Amino acid sequence: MALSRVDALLDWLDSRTGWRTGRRHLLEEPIPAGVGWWFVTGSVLLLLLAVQLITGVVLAMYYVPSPEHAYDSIRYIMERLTFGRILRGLHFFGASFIVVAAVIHMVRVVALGSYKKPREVTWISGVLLLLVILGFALSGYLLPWDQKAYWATTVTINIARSGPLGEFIAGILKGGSTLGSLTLLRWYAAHVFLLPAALVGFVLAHLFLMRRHGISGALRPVPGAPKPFYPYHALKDTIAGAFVFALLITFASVFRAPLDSIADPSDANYVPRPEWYFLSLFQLLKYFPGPLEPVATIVIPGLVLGVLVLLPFLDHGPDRHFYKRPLVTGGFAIIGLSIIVLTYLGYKDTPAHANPAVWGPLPIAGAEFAKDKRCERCHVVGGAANPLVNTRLTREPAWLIAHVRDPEMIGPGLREPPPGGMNEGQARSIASYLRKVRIGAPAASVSDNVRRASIVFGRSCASCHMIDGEGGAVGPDLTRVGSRHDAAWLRPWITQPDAVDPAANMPAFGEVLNDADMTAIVSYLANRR
Amino acid sequence: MTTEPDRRQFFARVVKTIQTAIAGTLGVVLGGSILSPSFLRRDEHWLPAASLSGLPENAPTSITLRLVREDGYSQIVDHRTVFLVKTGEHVIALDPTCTHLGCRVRWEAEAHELHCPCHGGVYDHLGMVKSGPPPAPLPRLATKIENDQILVQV
Repeated sequence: MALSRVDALLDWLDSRTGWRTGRRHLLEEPIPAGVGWWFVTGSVLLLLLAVQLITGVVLAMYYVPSPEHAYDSIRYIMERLTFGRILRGLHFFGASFIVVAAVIHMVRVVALGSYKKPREVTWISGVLLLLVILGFALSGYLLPWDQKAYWATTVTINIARSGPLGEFIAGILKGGSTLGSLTLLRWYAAHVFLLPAALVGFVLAHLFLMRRHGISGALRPVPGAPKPFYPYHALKDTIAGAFVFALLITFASVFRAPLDSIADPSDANYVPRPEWYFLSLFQLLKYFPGPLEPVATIVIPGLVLGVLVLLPFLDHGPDRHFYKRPLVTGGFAIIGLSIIVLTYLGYKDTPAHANPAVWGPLPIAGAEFAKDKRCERCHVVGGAANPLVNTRLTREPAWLIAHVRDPEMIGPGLREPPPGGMNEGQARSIASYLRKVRIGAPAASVSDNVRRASIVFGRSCASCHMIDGEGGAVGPDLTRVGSRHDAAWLRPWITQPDAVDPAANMPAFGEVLNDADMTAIVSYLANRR
Repeated sequence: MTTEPDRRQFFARVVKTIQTAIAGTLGVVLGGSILSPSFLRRDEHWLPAASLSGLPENAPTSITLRLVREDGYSQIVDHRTVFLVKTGEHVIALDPTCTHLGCRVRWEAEAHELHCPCHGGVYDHLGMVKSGPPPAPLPRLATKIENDQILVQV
């Protein structure tokens, strides 16, 4: 009874919309015999695009496109949402999967000559789709507003500057006088409104044209009657799609989608590198320095794009077999090989970035200094300020260091400050610790000796010396001091420097440090090789 | 012997099964991400509110508590007002949200009643409904006393 009512409803809907005819038209496309597994690439790409679109919509429920909150919102997605880490993983790795799937699809179309008459416009719509996909990739990685996002986008905008009308284009990309909230908002708008609209439009056009001209099929006609798309070819599409989806969800579950430290426009040490799919272009730039730069940024990519768009008109002969089209096959092989080699060279040349989750001596010391009763007078649950363990650091380091050294400056006259501030090294340590808290790096687990040495370093050394890029720059960098001096040299030097070298500027710490502290810091420094 | 309609039916079933599995897997990830914040329990904290000896007897005293709270991706400073009512050695903490439609009630000292300004709900000094539309007494928050300090759980 209930079933017949459903049937009646569907019949009524069909009489008004004709949905059954539409469904039949979509699913029963006659597929010629001999269409094999090579023809699943487009469907796999379509599935990946659908996953990207759906995960993007859910990410947009939580993502906030502002420099103040973007990073925190990504952290929230990854750390607080159930399956949020997998959700972002699907979207992040999905982007790479799509680039690979799009290239494989294109190679298949080129290898089997599927772009030939009458499918020229289908091919061009595919090339435009590839550009939209690359546009997604480019605009997507600014959004987390981490170091990689910020600096890679800075490079992208500067590359845009190299061509004709460069300043004008760079201005449009930047949206304001500097890379900031206006840039993030327009790249976000492009990523979630403009490009998806273009993507859907081009995908529909591509599918419509594919249906209009039919599938190009095997190189030579294979005897046998055509079979409907569903379920015969749909089975191949579905199996291939399931395999790729399983691979994607495995990636998303096993690997953590990277999130660098929060963007720091004042950081002069960060060496930006783009995602792997733009590494070849990045590497190409190195071979065309100075005035030749437009060759790498405009001429070569422009030529490749031009050849791609015009391919069906340049190669208009009837032969589809790649043996019989040596120019096209050879040309594509050279372009493909060049991209692979350039990507490899770019990858080899990528500097190892300091892992933001790794704790150096300064944040370890800072975590200890932050337990000071003077901090806890205000920084407690229900207190005048947030507890330090979950403080979202939004102030600049200079403010923070000044605040730790003189807590009264936060609000003179408003409340009584704790007696006595800390020294600059301790202030730097707490600032460093709060940066770790901000990026959500899990607290370091270290030995008592390392903790003691870190506290000594933070309190007595960090005002002048640096380790792992943090600390003062008055004295030498101690990151690898163990490779220059051993413990037997370091102990007398720290105790009484002018006894080792009469010209030494460093103050003596023999009276300041007790024996345990001295042993800890000497052993720690001697082991930093 | 397998006939073509059988093959076709079998293939269709395999296609549907695999597609359902893909959609189901994706649905679990998306569903978890969409639904989880709606059903997350809020962290509860004990906040110092007032000293017991400083409170008047049987008269709700309005106290504003400051709490840094997670609000999605951001942290906000939440100021929560509670009424503390001391009766002998005991203290109750009343949430001033009217149980009718959520307006904030006010203490009218002369009438010795809590009044809701929206629809005329009236509660006694312990938050019990005296008249008007409220369907239930004012909610109470857990309290404890440590060394004359009243702590309220929010």
